[in-house]
Formats: sequence, C-alpha cells, structure tokens
Amino acid sequence: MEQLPKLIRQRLQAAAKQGGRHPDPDLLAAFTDRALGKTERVQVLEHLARCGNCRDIVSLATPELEAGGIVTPALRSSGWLRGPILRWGGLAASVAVVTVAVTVPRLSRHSSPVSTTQSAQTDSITNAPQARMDEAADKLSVSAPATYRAAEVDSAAAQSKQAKFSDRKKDVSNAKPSRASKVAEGRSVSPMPQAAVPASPPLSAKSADEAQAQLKKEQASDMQVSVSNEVVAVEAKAAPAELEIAPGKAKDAPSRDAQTGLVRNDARALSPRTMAGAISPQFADATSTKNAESATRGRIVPRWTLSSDGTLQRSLDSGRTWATIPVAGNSVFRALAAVGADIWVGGSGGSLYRSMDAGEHWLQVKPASSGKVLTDDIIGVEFTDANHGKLTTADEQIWTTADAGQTWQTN
Amino acid sequence: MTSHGVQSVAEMALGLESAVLDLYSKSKGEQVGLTKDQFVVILKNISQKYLPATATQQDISDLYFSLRVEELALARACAAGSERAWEIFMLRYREKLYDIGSYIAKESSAARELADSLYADLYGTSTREGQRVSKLASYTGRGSLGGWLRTVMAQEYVNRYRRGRKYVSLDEESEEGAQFAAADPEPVLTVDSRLEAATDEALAALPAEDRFILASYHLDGRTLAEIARTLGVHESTISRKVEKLAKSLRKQILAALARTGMSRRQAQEAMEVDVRDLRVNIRSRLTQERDVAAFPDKKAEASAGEGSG
Repeated sequence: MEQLPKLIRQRLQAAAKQGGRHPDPDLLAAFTDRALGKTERVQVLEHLARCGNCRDIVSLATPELEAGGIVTPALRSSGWLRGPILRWGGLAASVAVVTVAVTVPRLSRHSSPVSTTQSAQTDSITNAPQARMDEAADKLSVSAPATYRAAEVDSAAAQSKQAKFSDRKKDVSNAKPSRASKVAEGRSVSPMPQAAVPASPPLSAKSADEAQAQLKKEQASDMQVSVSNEVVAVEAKAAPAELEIAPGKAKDAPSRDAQTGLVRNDARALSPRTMAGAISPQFADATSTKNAESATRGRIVPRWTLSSDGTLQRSLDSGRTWATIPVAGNSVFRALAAVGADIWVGGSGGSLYRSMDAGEHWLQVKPASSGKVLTDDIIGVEFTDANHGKLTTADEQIWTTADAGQTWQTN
Repeated sequence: MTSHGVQSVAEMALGLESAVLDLYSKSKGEQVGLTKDQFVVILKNISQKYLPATATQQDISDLYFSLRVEELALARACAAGSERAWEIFMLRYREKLYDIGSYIAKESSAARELADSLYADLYGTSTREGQRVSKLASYTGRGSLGGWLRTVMAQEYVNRYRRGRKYVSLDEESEEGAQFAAADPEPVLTVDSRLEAATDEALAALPAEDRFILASYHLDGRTLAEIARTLGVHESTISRKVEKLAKSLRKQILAALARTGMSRRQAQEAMEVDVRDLRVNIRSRLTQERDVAAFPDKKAEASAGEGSG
C-alpha cells in the first residue's frame, strides 16, 4: 500500500481541530443506513473526516452482515461472476462443457452428432459407469444437453428449446465418463475454440417450461461463454470423474428428486444459477455426497440480509457487495429464512413470499387458518427444513406450517 | 427562499396536510396510541430540526416522506409510555439490543452492561422536571430504529470505554451548540510553512469522502474491509482509492511547492523532513485520539515504517 507522507497525516490530524458540531445519532444512523441525501451525506462525511470520535461510532454502528447462509457448490467468488449476465454465462459455459465432454468423443467417431440409443446401449454393456448412467437418465428422463456443431452456435440457444428429451437422453447415454473427463482435462491444454461451445439447457429435474425460461436468459449471455474458461475447465474435470466414483448415488438421486420436484440438498439448491445444478441432478448429488471435498473447494455462500428499510439483499461474494433482490410490491420485510435455495421473507401487513430458486422467482404465500387470514406484520420467519416453518407476528401470533406453506395453523 | 411570507407558510401547511394524514396512517400510530395531533407535532419538530426556516414545501414533504414513520411512531409512543408500543418494541428489539451490545463491545460483561444501560435510557430513568424522559423521544426516524439503536450504543461505548473521559452525550453537546474541539496539548512540530500550506491545500481540495477514507485508514488504522462496509462499497474500491490518494496527494504537494519556487529535490526533501520527529508526533496524536490498548503502538509503527509503493 502506498505510504502516506507523514506530513499529510499530520495535517489530516490537525484538521480535527476544526471539527464543528457532532451530527446527532439520527443523522449518523441515517448515514450508516445510507438513507441520507447527497448534501447531508457530504456534510456528515465532512465531519467524519475530521472527527475520530464519530468515525469510531459510525464504524461500530455499521451493522455486521447478517447471514442466512446457503451453501452452493463450486462457484468462485471472483469479481466477474457477480453480474447476473455473467453468472448465466458461467452456467451456460458449464453446461456447454459437459456437452462437449459428452459429445466430442462421439463426434470423433461419428460424423453425425446424433446417434441411436441402441448402439449406445450396446456399447455401454461393457462399461459399468456408463450403464448406470443410462439407468439414471432413463429413470429421471431429464434433459441432457442437445448437441450442436460449431457453426450453429448463434442459434444454439434457440434450437435447444426445440430439442426433445429423447435426443438429449441419447447424448447422455453415449457418454463415457472416463473419456469425457479426459477430454475435459485436455481442455485447459488444447481447448476447443470457445465459440464452438453451444449453450445447452441445464440438466435439472425442473419442468421443461422452466428449462426454457432459463434458456432465454442463457441466450442473452451466449457471448459470455468464452469468458468463463477458467471455471469451465475446473468444473468439467470434477463432475464426470465423480460420476464414476459414485454411480450408485447417481442411480438413486433422480427417483428421489423426481418424486418431490423439490430442492433436496444444498448442493443442488441453487440449480438455476450454479454450475453443479446445471450439470445434472446426478452430477450434483454425487458431487455433494461422495465428493464433498471437491465441492467445497471454491464454493461461494450466497448470503441474505434485510436492509434496514426492509428490502431483501443478497451477496454472492461473502458479504462484500450486496444486491437488492426485488420481491414484490412495496412490502417492508422484517424477517427472512433460508433453507438451501428456499428463501422465505415476511414483513408488513402479513406479506409473505417464497422463492425456491434462491431469489429468482417469488410466490406470495397467504397464510390462512380456519377463516382467519394473517394480516399483521410478520416479524419472525423460521424454517427448519423445506416444509416445516414458523411465523411470528407483531401481535404475537404464531403460525406454523408442516407442508411448505400449503396449510397453516395458528395459536 | 426568503420570499415566503406568513401567507405562503399557511398555504404550505395546508398543502402538507394530506401528506401528513397519509403518513399518519402509514405510521400505524393509532395502533400504538399516538394521536394524529401528536404525530403532526412530532413531524413539525423534526422539520424544524433538520431544515432551515427557509425550506420550501417540497423540502419539507421530501423530508417527511424519507422518514421511517412507522418506527418513528413506535419510538415516540414508547417514549410517551404506551404499553402496547413497549410490547412491540420489546418483541422487536430486546434481543437485538444484546446482539448489538456484543457486536460493539466484543466482550460479554461489557456488552450486557452496555445493553442494560441503553435499555434504561430508552425506558427513561433520568427525570426532567419530575417527568420520566425516554431517550426514544429523541429518535427522529431519519435512519432505521435499529440503526439508531446501534449508533446510540456505539456512542455510549466510545464515550465510556474508549475516551475514558467524562461522559457528555452528543445530544447534550449539540443541544448546547457546543463546538467540538480535540484537545491538543502536543507541541506543534515546526515544518516549512510552505509545505504545510501546500499539504492543507491539497487535502482541502479532496472530496469529504476521500478525506474520510484517508483518516480512517491512516489515522484510525481501520482495515479496508471496515471502511468499505461503512461506505457500502467494495473493498477493492477502497484499496484502489487509498493507493491513488497517497500518490496524487504527494504529486499535488510537490507541484504546489514547485510553484513556490522550490526545486523538485528541495520539495521532496521537505516532504520527508523530520521523519523521526514527525513519527513520534503522529503516534502521540494517534494515541491521544484513541485508547492505546485498543490500537497498540505497533500499528502506528507499522504504517509509519512501510516502504512507499
């Protein structure tokens, strides 16, 4: 750090002599709340620059970051991943790499990107991990990425919307994890031209509709794919390898997830915006359970907080920067609970909102019990898991749910 | 705008009336036993406190709408002794007070003492003309009530534990209109007056925020992260700024000295002159500014001893 000449420090210090009147606690509080207008803010800063006492107060009074932590796998908290477009770019890239990993070996064998399931299955008999993967894919009927030639990149996102599940399944069943991982590893040495990496639909247990909605976003971020090189290489290395390690897990995962359609664990929690979530439920599950170590590496922990004026804020860089997450209307929120990607916020006038995708989409929940509707301010929200939760209102009512907010009981 | 006569003030009040009504219903003052009339008086006092007498209706209305009216009504109803208001306050803030206390004091017994003492102040133990006066009566809703509580507690803590001098609440001080002046028994180091003037000039030309950053970093020894948190920006922004400020200040001072006819070499020497004396001086100033135990000498030593980048 650049050293400040001693004299400058001395003069800074000397300026304290002309400090002027202390701002009252209201103004200092408004300053730390960042609620002051420009003129007043400058006035307060002017005083703070001279008054060590008030600097102490302001520094102590700045709230520590309250965190409702969510553990999500394998995103680096590097600066460029912060913008939504870039995040989606990272997601698109990770999916793209899986696609490449899955398809490149095959492309080198066949000239056509689409081969038949039958041949793939025949191939797979001798390949245990692959066979398990087939099973997994069959059970889940989730979408694996459709493949595209390099020339089709521009229209890749648009085309992937039309891709059928069956096509995607074939692609997955053709994958040989061992080779796939080799290819992925090779990427950092002799990478495919990034432009040749198509954006593909994320693999998740979500409905096709949701997948398409995500695709729209990915389309917008196609251009960012090449930027994401670094993370891409890391992710691609980890995921297929883990699939080999934990085939049994991969087999079990889909049926469980398919039953509930709900976010099951932290590793999968942020599927719309994280890499592992985007790769596939099997991959993610395997990652989280069998190879937690590698998943822990480079994790980011989205943190949640409520600003003092009752807006919801999220930080993807361990609390360094906070972005306001729009929820709905003019509600002033007083309480929040986060269970994985499941976020609940409650506040003024009984407003209660839930997001199951870490803040991307919100649904209003209107608790009612035997004709009584919750209209009082919610001041406490606690959820012990996705289903069981408790609300506390300003007039000391307790509302509980055991089915993720479908029905409520009150005292 | 001094052109506002009595007439226009009356009109102003009329125009504001609907806004005030709106705010009153938003404040839910009724639920905590605060009447509309009381609410109007509170608002009026607040605008008198923060706005000049010449403020326009727009200014007043802007101020009103920037207030946390709900928290304001709650605090003032508590101060007025409303039981319902106290119930709500306790429910929302009782736990928080202890949390804030331990965040600020970092040590449990001090934290508890701090929180209890603030709680007593909030409830109102001191009497003025035989009446219980709650500290909550001074809350004006400029910032959140939670933020205000943190600030008041931080203030108490700084006064009590750091300064180690007679406690004078900032309220009292500002009520009396007292001018703040740091006690400065240190003999002032004699440096070239041209150098001093050039330095003052360069510092004065900086925006307040930059001077705040410089003071926080170089005088208080705060971390980049702490400063960033206070200003609500990213740590790297502060880091860049600290770096840039030091460079540009040096440059500007040298340029100013050159204008006075000093050679570059002379100017550079003047800037580094009396380093040892100056360091002693600064350290004593720093320690005078804050508790020695909280920021041991090595901090001043370290920052003074760092090589230039």
